[in-house]
Amino acid sequence: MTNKLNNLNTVNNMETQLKKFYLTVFSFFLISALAVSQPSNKLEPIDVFDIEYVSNPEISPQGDKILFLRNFKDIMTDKNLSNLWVVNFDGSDMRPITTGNHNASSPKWSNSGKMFTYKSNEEGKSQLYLYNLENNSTQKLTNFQSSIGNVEWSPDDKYLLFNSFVESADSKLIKMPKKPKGADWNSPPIEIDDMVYRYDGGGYRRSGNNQIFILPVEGGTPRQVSSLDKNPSSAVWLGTDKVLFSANLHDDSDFEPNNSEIHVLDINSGQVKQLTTRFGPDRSPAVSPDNSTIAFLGYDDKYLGYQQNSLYVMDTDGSNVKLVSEGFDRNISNINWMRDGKGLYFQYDTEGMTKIASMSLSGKVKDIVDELGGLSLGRPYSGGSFTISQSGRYAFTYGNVYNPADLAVGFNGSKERLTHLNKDLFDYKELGKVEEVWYESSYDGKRIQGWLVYPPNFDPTTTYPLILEIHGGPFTNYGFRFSAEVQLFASEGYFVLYTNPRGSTSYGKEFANLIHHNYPSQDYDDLMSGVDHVVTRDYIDGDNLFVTGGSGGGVLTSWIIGKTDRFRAAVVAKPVINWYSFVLYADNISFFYKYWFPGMPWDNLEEYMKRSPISYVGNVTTPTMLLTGEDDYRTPMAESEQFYAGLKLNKVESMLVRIPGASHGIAARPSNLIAKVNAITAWFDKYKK
Amino acid sequence: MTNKLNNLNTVNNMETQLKKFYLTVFSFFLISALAVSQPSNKLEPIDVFDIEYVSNPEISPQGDKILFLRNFKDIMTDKNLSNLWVVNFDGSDMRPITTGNHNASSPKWSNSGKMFTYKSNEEGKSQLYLYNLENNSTQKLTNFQSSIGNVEWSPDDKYLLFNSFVESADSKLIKMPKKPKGADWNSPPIEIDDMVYRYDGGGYRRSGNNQIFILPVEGGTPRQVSSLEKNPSSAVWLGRDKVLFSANLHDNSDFEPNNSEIHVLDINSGEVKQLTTRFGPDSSPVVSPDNSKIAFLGYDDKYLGYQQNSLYVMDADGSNVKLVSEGFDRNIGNRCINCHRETEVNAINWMRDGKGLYFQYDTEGMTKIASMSLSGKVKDIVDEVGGLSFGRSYSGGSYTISPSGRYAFTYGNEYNPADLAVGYNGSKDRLTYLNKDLFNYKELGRVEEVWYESSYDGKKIQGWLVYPPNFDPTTTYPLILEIHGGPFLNYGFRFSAEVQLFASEGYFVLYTNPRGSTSYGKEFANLIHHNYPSQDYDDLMSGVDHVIKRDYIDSDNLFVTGGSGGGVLTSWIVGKTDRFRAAVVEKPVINWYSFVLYADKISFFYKYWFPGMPWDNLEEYMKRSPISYVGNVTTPTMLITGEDDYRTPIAESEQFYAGLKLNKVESMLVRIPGASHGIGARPSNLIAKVNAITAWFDKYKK
Repeated sequence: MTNKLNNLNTVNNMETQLKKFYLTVFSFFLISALAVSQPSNKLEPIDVFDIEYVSNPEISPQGDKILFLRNFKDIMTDKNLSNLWVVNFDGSDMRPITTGNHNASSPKWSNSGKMFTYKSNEEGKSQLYLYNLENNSTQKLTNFQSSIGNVEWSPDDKYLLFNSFVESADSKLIKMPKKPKGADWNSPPIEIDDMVYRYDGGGYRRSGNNQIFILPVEGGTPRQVSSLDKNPSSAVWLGTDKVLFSANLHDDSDFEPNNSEIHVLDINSGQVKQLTTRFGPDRSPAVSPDNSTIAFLGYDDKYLGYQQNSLYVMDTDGSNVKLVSEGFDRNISNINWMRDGKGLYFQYDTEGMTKIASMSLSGKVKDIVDELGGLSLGRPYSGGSFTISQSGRYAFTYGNVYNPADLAVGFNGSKERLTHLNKDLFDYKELGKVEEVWYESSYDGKRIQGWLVYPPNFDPTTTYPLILEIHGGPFTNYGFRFSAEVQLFASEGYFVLYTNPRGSTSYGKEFANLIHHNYPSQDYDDLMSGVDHVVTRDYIDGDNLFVTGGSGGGVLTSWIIGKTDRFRAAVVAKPVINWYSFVLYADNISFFYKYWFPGMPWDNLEEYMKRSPISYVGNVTTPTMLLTGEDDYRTPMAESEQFYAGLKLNKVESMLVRIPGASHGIAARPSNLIAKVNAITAWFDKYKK
Repeated sequence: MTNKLNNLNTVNNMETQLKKFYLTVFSFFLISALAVSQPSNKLEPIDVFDIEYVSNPEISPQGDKILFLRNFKDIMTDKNLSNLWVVNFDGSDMRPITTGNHNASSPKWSNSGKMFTYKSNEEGKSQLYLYNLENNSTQKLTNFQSSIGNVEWSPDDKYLLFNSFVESADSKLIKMPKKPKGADWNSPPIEIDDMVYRYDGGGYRRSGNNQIFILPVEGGTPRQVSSLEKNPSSAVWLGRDKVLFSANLHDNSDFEPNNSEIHVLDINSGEVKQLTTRFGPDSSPVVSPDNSKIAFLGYDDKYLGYQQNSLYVMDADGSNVKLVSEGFDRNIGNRCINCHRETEVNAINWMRDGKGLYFQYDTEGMTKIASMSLSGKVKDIVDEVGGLSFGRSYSGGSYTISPSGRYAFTYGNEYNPADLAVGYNGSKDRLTYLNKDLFNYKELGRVEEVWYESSYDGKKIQGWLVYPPNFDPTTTYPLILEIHGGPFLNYGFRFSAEVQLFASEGYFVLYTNPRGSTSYGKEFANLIHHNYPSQDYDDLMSGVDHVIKRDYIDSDNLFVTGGSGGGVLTSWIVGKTDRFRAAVVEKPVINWYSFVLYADKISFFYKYWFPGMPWDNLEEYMKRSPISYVGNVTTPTMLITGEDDYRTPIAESEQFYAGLKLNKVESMLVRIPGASHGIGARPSNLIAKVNAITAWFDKYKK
C-alpha cells in the first residue's frame, strides 16, 4: 500500500485530498492481490494480476496535458480493467478521471483542449462521456446498445463523429412451428451465409454493419449519416460538413478483402464519393492543417505474404496521389500532420525497436524517439502508440525489456518518463537480464537478431536449461519489450531465447517475404542457428533444450519437432498444422489461400501439404503438449486436435490442453496467462534432466 | 384425447380405475401438443412431438407378461421421455408401471417372473428400482452418482449384476496458484492425454472406467467386484459365483480398439481369466441352459471396413471354440441408430434345449428374428422388427424370447414406428397402436419397394420410393434422393418421419441401399472397402435414373440430401454432377485427412477405412475427399451440422462451406446448437432439420 503511493508520488508533486481518496479506493484490489502472493524475489505467475501498464496516451492539442489509461487486473473477477488519468506535460497534477473496477477507453481531446470525451462501461455497456476541465464535470452522452468506435471532434468542436454497429433485419430461411407458450425448446438453428461469418475474439457475425454517426457535443440523439453496405473505418472530419473514411465498398469485397478505398461522405446530402482507386488498401486518411491535402496509408496489393504500408498524399478531391515514403523500407503506422503541413509524424518498427519519426513530404525520415513499449504484456510484441501536439510535444507508451508500458512525454527527441506503475512490484522482484544477440543463419549467412534472457540470480558456474520461444504472425516481431511469459520462464530457472527469424517484420519487406509461399522453411535454420549460437556458452546446457511458440510460433514449433529430436520437450500453442483445413475454417477465409499460397488447396495439394507440420508428424519423438483456446477462430482447436491424434497414433508422449472460453488471444484473461505459463513450465519440468 | 384412449382400448380388454387415472395424467402433455397443431391431413413437422414408439420389449421367462417402454416426447421441454408398461402375452391387462415426464429404461425380469428391475430418472439421476408384481410395490435400490448399465439377475434371483462408472483420481499436471476466497477466475485448463478423449453424444471422457457391481435384490450397498483398467461390457452370470464379460484388456487396446476378449471373473476371489484369444472382437457371451457352453459373437479382424459378427460356441472354460454360423453371410445382431448413440443390438438367446440360439439380423432392408442350430442351420421366425431411429428408416429394433419360445418384439414397417408385437413359432400379434390417434387422420406417403441395376456393373440395388400423400399421377413432382449414413448400414422397410415429412411437402423421395450397405452380405458391403466414395455414386445415380422415367416425377426438379455417410455422398455427388437443383449435406466428412484425426475414433478410421496414416497415404485420402472436387460444384448447397458433433465435427462442414463460398456457389451453413451427431435427438432439432431441408429445396424448386 505504502509502496503504491510512493510510486505515484515520484511522478506527482501535487496531492489533493480528492486524489488520496481515489487512490485508496483504486488500490483496494491490490491489497487482495498481494494478500495471496508469497513474498519472493522472483516473479511468480500470480504476480500477473499486479502488473499494470499505460495505454492510449493522448496529448492535448495545446501540448499541456496528457490523458492516459492505467490498465490493471482484478484478481477477484479475473478481468482486465482500466481507468482514465490526466497529467500535466511537466508531470504535475496527475489524477484519475475515472475510478473503480471498470473499463475506460478512447480518451479524445477537443480542439480547444478544454474538454475531452472518453468511453466507459461503468454502467454496463460502454458509453461515451464528455468531461469538461473547466468545471471538472462529467456528462454521459450516449445510451447506445451497440459499441461505439473511435471518436473525432469536428474542427469547430461542435460535433462528435464515430462509428457504431447498426443491426439489419435478419430474415431466416428456416421457419420453426409456433411453440406452446412457455415451452423450452432447443435454440433454433443458426444460419450462416456470409463468406466471413466469425472473427476470432469477436464471435459470430451479426447481420448488419457499422455506420457513421454524428452527435452534438452538448448531447442529444446521435444522427446516422451513412447508409453503407460494408464497414467504414478511420472516419475523420474534412472541414465541418464532410467526413473521410476508408471502406471496401467494391462488389467483390468478400473475395478481395484488402481492397479498401478512401471515400468522402457529404454529411448533409449523404452522398459518398470514392477518392482512391488503385488495387490495394487505402486507409487512415489524415487531413493536412490547411485542409488541402490528405495523407493516407496503403500499398499496391501484389498478393504477397507481407506488404508494408507506404505513406501517400493526395489532394482533397483525390487527385495528385503521390507516394511519399518511397525508399523507406519499413511499415508506417499512426500518421499525424506537422503543424506546418510539410511532413508527418509516424511510428515504425525497426530491428525489434518501435520509434516515433517524422517524414517530410519529400520522403526524408528523421527519428525522434525510441522505446515505444509493447502492450501485449505476455510477450515482447510491438504495439505501443503515441500522440503529438501541434507544437510537437509528444506522449507515448514508454517501455523496454524490463518495463511494461509507462507514460513518457518529450519534445524534439527528449524522453521524460512520467509514471513507474510497476515500481511497487519490481522493486522487490528481480527480473532476468535480457541480452541482445545477433548471429548468422546456417542457411545463407543472413544476420538474425535475437534476445537471450537470463534466469534471475544467474550463476555462471552452473548450467541452465534453455527454452526457445518463437513468435507468431509470422509477419510480426519480438523486440526490446517486456514479456511476462518469458520472465516467468526465466524465474523458473530457464534461459530463454527469442529471435526474429526470416519472415519477421522490422527488417524490411525482402527479409519478411523470404517466407512468401515458403513458410515454414529456412526460418527453421534461422531458429536452430540461434540455439547453436547460445548453447556454446558454458552455462547453457545443450542437453536440456526446450521449444515453444504460439500461433505462427506454434506452426514452427510443430515443424521443428518433425525435423529434429534435439529438444527434450515442446509446447505447441494454438498452431496451424494442416494448411489445407486451416485456410478453410480460419476466420479470414478469403485471405490465406491467396496471400500465403498460390491458390485453392484442392488445386495446390502438394504446396499445402509440404508446408504442413502434420505431414511430418510421423517423424516426431519429442514429448509435445498442445495448448489452444476452445473458442479460437483464427487457428481453431481442430488444428491442435489433428496434431494430437498424429502424436498419439505415433506413440509420442503428448497432451492436449484446452483453455475454456479462450480465443486466439489465450491470455486475454489474467488467469489464462497463468494457466498457459504453468502448463509450459510443468511440461518442461517433467522432461528436464 | 378420446382417440388416445380408444387406441389403448383396442389392445386392452381389462380396465382398472388405476389405469384410467394413469392415462389421464400421462396424456396431459398430448393435449398441449395437439393444441398447437393445425388440423391437416398431412403429416406436419410439429407432429413429431406426437409420435410415440415402443422399445425394450422384455418378455418374462414364463412367457406370460411383457414389459415395454412407451417412448414419447414432451413439447414443453423438447425432451424424449419414456414410461414402463406391462401387458399380458394375450394383450390383456395393459398398464403403466411408471408415469409422468421421466425416463424409464432397461426393464429386466427376475428368473421367477415375479419381480423385475428397471431404471428411472424420476428423482434426477437414473437409479435402479425393483418392482414386485405380487404386491405391486416399488423399491428404489440405488443412489448412484454414476449411471448404471445393463442389469442381470443371478440364477437364484438373489443378486443383481451391473456395470457402473468409477471415477479415478484425476491428478493435474498444470497447477494453478491459490485464488483469493470468492474469486471468480476462468475455468481451469482441461488436460487431455488419452487417445480416446471424447465420444459423440457422450462428451469428454472423465478419468476412470466402468466396473462390475453386484447388489443384493433386497437392497443394500452395491459391491464392486472388479478392478479393471478398461471398460467391461456384456457382463452376465456364469453360475452364481462367476461373471462373464467382454473387455479389451490388452496393453495395446488404444491402438487395437476392436480386440475385445471374453473373460471370466470370480466374484469371491476377484480373479479374472481370459477365455478367448483370437485377434478380433469377442463379445456378447451367453451361457447355455446347462451352464456347459458359452455362445458369443465376434470375427477374425482383417481390418476391413465391414466385418460381420459370426456366432461361436465354446466350453465354459474357453476351450473348443467352434464357429457356428459359417456360411451365413449376414451380421448376427444389428446396429441400433437410436438418435442418441449407436449401440449394437446383439441379443442372442439359447434355446431351452441348448441345441441352438435365437438371434436377429437384417437382410435386404428387413430385420428378422431367426434361430440357428449348433450345426448352423438357420430358420427365420418372424420379420418386421421395426427400427427405432424414427427420423429415418434405419434398422434397430429388438426382441426377447422366453424359454418356451414366446417372443416379444418391436414391430414396425414403413408406415408404423415401432409398436409392441408378440408371437410364437412365427406368429405375429400386434398389441399396441400407439400412433393410431395421429395416423388415423394423417395420410402418409405410400412407400414402394424398387429394385434396379447399377449402371456401373449391373449389380441389383434395392430402394424405396415414397409418394407424396394425395398423389395425383396426372401431375409432376420433384424428387429428393435421400442417402443413408454409415456407410455400413441399411435403410429398409421401416418408418421414417423425415422422409414422410418431405413427402408431405409434395416431394417424391427415393432412398436406396447402394454398395457398402449392409443386409446384402459382406462382399456387397466391402465393395467400398478402401474405396469410399466410389461406385456407390453410380448406384445412387442409377436409382434416380430408374425412377425419373415415370411421368409424374419431374427430372428437372431433382434434389439430394443425406447425413453422415450420406453427407459424404451428397457432397461427393455435387462435385460430380450438376443434375440436382440443390443439395443439403448433413454432418459430412469432406476431408478424410482431417477427419480421421479429430473424429472420436482416432485409432479406428485410418486403419479400417484407409491403408494407413494420412501422411503416408496422402493421395488415397484426398482422392476420396469431397473437398478435392469442391471446385467443380455449381449446385446450391446447404450444410447442417450439430455444434457438438464429435463424430464428424463441424470443422468438416466449415471446410466445405468455405470451398463453396470461394467458388461463388450459393450456400448456407446451418449450425444446430448443442446437437451431437444425432442431430434429431431433441424433437425440435428434428423439426429444424426437416424445415431447413425443405426450405432450401423449395427455394430452388422450379
